[in-house]
Amino acid sequence: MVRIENLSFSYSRKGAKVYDGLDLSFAEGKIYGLLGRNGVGKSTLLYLMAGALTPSGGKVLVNGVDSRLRLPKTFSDIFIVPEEFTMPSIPFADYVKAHSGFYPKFSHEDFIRHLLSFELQPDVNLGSLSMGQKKKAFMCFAMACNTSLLLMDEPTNGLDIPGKSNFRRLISTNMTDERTIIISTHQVRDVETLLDHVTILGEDGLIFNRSLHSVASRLRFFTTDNKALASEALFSRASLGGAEIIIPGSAGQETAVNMETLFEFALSEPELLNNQFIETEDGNEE
Amino acid sequence: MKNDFFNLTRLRMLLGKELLENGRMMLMRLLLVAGIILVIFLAMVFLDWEYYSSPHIYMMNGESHADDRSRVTLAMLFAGGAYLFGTVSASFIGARLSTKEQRLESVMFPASTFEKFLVRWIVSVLFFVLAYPLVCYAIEIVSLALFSSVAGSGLWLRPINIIGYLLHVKAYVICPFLILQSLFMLGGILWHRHAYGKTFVSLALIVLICAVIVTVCLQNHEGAYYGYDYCRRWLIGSTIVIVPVSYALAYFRLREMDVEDHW
Repeated sequence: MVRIENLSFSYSRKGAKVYDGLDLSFAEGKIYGLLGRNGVGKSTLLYLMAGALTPSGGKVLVNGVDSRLRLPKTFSDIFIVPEEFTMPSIPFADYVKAHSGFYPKFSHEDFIRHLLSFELQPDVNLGSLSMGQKKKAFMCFAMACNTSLLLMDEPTNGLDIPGKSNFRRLISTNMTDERTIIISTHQVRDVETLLDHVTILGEDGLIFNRSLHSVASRLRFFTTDNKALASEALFSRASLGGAEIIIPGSAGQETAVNMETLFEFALSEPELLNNQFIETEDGNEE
Repeated sequence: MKNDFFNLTRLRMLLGKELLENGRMMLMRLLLVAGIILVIFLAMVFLDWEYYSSPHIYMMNGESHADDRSRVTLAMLFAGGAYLFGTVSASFIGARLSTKEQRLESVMFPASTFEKFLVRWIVSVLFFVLAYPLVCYAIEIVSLALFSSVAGSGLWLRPINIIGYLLHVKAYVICPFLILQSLFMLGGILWHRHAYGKTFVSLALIVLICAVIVTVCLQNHEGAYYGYDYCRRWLIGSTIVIVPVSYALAYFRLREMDVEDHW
């Protein structure tokens, strides 16, 4: 679906490179979580994948076509929901009528269904909506376009609590085998139940890239007040219940993946984390 | 819609979207232009009624002609307005590209860069060229009605041929207009914020430098005579070169525009 080949990018010729020779791929039928600290280039990577930024080296192929060529047929199969966006102050129905023709797989039935799930009306004027409501409306339109690639930058920012759960339902019920969804976020708790795969970016590029199934089968996540167990763990961090720890897993003992703990582990000891997967990969898996 | 460079259906849809989202703003701008010209004209005439109500005698091709001053003033205002508002309108070509969100929306829209450029050109350049004469006629009708009711003079009931007036001096009016409009359009694409001011200052500097060079050259060719035809040829030649180059540069700049500037 998306293949990133030897990608390099920097915002200035003399400045540090945001990416230097990045190779990465995103498969169909999966929801990816793109995580990383502020400023590591998560949004930049989304823009590069969408073809909205020009790489200084390498390329991004979406369904085999370089997205930077900015071909209409490529863009009619990609939709990006940025963290901040603009919508004109016109009735939403008119907006949909004017925009939907550009997306061949747009489904009006889906659109109405998504709107109702967010308790929005199709005849509402976009100028009268709050930022959170606009985001819901924009995401309803984005989902109804049924593009193969959907890129979302901080999609839950600005959503109220019911909005966040509606968002999760919207994504999970509309996921198909032909679709790839990449969600860049800091609000991992809002999306952790949705994700199939986690990609963590650090200052030097990619530091962790595994399926959550693989993570759950190799690592176990606990909250414990047992100090001895915490001291022997691969990683631990203080929490209200004592310590959140990660220990090596074994078959049949899978636990839910604590995304925040995994993220901190990846940032603090990326080699140790990745070694857990190399050691067990000899026999089978991945 | 297989053609990735130009597709008429896609262009029509894109133009429809543009008019839906910005049509009201375009009409408001046009009304503002009409209001400004009308207010200036009425103020000028009513503040000096004696002067404007007397005929203006001038010579053309060795013959004496008479015209009323208010009509000449109105024609001059229309010509000046065409330059001022035409260049302002052209510089609006990149008005909705000033923020990252707007650039992302523009770049990611599923139409070719050529179609996006063409629609922007239609809205900010062609629309003005077509709509401005209509605005001029509307102003003229309003002022004719006003003057007829105030003065009751038959002179005012004879409408002026504004387009004929503007075309009377042909190259000297049309060529500079096309050059300026294309340059301000290029400025609008190059600079998304304060495009008009930045283009104006840049052009003023370029004109100043050119004026110095021309003055120096003329001093070295003392006694040389440059007639009407010579200047006209230069003007037409400059238009043929500058206008397409400005359009090409604007298109390629739009094509290479990224959501965030980086070098």
